[in-house]
Amino acid sequence: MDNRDAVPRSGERLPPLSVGHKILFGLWLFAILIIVALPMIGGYYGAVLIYTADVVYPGVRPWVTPIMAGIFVAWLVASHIVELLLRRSFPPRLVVLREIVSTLIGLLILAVLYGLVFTEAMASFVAAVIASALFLACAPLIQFLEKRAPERS
Amino acid sequence: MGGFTSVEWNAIARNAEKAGDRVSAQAARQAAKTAQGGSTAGGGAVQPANIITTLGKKALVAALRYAGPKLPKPMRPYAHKLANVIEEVSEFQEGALITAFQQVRVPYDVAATAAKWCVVFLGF
Repeated sequence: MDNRDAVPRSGERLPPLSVGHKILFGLWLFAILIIVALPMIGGYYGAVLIYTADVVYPGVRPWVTPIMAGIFVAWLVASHIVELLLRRSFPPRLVVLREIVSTLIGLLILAVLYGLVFTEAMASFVAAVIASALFLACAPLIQFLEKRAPERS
Repeated sequence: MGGFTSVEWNAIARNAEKAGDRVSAQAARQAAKTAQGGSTAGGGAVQPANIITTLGKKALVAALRYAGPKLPKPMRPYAHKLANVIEEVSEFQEGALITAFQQVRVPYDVAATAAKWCVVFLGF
């Protein structure tokens, strides 16, 4: 499908959307977030399988999917802020150490965010580890899809 | 550099590579690195980001790019803009590795290939 006319130029002001389009765009974005947050959902169910459903806060279960999508976005934003802070605190020659610290803090942030869903800290941590492992397991697929994604311009 | 973002320069580089113009592709990649450098927090060298969140961002960008053309026409520019913004945030990594390799006098084409493989396997 040729959508060159739909690609905005840098700094270009986009035309305003109607209310219907805004709602549709929101739903579309939500659906995409759910698809991308599948490893997070996998982490949740992995922890539930290990620790049973008793470790989940009451009332959370019906809302797990949107909560995971929200946690995914919060995790990306929080990790990015931490990354920026680490860049300022670590000297450039310690890139590897900084990345290890950044990855560990990312895992910790994820565990804390899972803590909104689980009553036990260990279950949150296990869910974070499973979600991270699932993301890593999906790495070749993500790279492949990214390479074959439709052109930007 | 003509006001292009790093994403746009990388797209130009890819198109040049497809057309077999390696010199232009290399120049565009260099321009992309410069544009990235201008957008990083330190205002200087480009920096990598952590492995797992990088994968998350890449997955999000790929999903937005695949699903964008399926949207009604008025909404497509928003999808593209969103993907571009997220991608600019996560595209530091490859440029940083290329810069690091070049600092130890690895030729640009070798550095670019090595960086690409590092990104594929390590997610850096």
